[in-house]
Amino acid sequence: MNHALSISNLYKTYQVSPRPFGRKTVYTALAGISLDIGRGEAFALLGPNGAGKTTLLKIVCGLIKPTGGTVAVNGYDVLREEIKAKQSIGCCLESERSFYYRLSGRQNLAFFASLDNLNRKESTAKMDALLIDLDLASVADMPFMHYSSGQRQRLGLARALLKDPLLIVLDEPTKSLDPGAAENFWQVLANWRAGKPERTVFFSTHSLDEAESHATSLAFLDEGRIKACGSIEELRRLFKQGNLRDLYRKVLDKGGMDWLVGKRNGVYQA
Amino acid sequence: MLEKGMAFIRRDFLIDISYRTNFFLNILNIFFRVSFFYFFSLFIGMNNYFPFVLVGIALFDYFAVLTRSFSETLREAQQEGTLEALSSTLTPLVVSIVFSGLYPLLYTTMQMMLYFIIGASCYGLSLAGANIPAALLVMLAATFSFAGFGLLSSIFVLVYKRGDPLVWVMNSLSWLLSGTLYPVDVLPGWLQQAAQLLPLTHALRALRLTLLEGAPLSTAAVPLVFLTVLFAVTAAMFVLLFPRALNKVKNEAGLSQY
Repeated sequence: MNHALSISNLYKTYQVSPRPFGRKTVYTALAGISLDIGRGEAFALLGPNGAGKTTLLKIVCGLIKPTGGTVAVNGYDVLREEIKAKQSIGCCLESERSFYYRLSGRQNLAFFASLDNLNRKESTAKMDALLIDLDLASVADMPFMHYSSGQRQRLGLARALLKDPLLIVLDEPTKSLDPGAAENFWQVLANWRAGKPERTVFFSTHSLDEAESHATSLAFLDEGRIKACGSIEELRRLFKQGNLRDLYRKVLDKGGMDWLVGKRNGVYQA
Repeated sequence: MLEKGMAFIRRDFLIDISYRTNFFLNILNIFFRVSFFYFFSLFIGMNNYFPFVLVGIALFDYFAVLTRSFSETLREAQQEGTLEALSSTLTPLVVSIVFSGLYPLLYTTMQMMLYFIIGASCYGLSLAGANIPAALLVMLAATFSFAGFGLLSSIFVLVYKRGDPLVWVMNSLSWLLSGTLYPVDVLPGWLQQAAQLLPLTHALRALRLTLLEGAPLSTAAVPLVFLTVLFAVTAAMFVLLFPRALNKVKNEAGLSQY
């Protein structure tokens, strides 16, 4: 069975130098990540700053090359079958700085739609609907530079949804949104997934409430390793913690222990 | 592909006209430059200097825009953060970089025409004897050869972000040696030989021959061949080096760095 996302033994290391012309040392961002996300899941990635969440998401989106391991999106390898993989993935990673400041929201979306091979007529209709759904219709013709952080974030989601992907990847999607806008954001995603069981969401967040409310499964990432992975209920049972906040602390406090308790296809791995 | 090309042109045009003052000042600046060189040619008392220098500065501007536009657009994308967004689309980054040169090409072509329109309408420049088809062919060869250097320069910016030496060297040496403001003949012999390595030297010689003297295309054959070979070499280098550069940048997570 093809998973929406299949990550196998993924490594990412960087050669970094603390000072110019200094000796380089190896920094490990991801150390052997394996993860399968089934179609239709909403999968949350949790972990402290510097855990490797953004690196993992960017590798999935084909923006960073892994040092080792493989990533397949809907069965397509992101390195060897880049275009096919990109066809079924929508990325919403950094919305503050990923649009043209002097262009309006609508002009930005139209430009990126062209690059995603959407024809003008089709993309215009989709764009109008998304702008209304994301409460951006009133500012659609305003230059992007006048958008609030929340509006920028929502425009990022509009761009990701425009090509109707099977998998959507979101990096801390609601970090700049007020509670109402965040709720609206998730409602748009829920509407997008409604009646389409193959549509999958993979997102990182620091908000445990958000993970609990919107994820069907989650993984705790720390120091480039998955410390625990599974459905929220499974993890609660395994770690004997009813509260997600306590669960988070318990998993991450295990430090060097390699907890890998994800349930995939009915198989527990440890 | 045509729709994508149009999308890049539309994007850059909309951004350009959003800086209205700059857009119109650039046009006004051409008028002042043409006027300056007209009065300067009157001052030095050489009747044929004005058309000579007009071709020189118009083509130098064209050269400067085409060699810089790819790397400048890429640098802006790095700084604005749009490079990652471009890379996430179904359009390969190499296509986005090549297409980012379309609007600058149209703009600088319009600028070049403006030089001649102002020269003709305000200061009596006559191109009556020009061999226009030959001049257009020279411009085509020059465009590809200049763009080849521009694309190579974008590789440097993709990897190292700042301090692109290629365009700096090309622009500085071309301004000094290529015969923009004065004929190459006035240079010492060894500098004249060095000037022969620069594409602008050949493009200027061929354009002056065809546009100002109405010479047949055959007289511009050597510069044309040189420009074409240069384009073939730079294009081959770009095709060879760009995937490696992109690979390096993606390995270093450098698409979002600036």
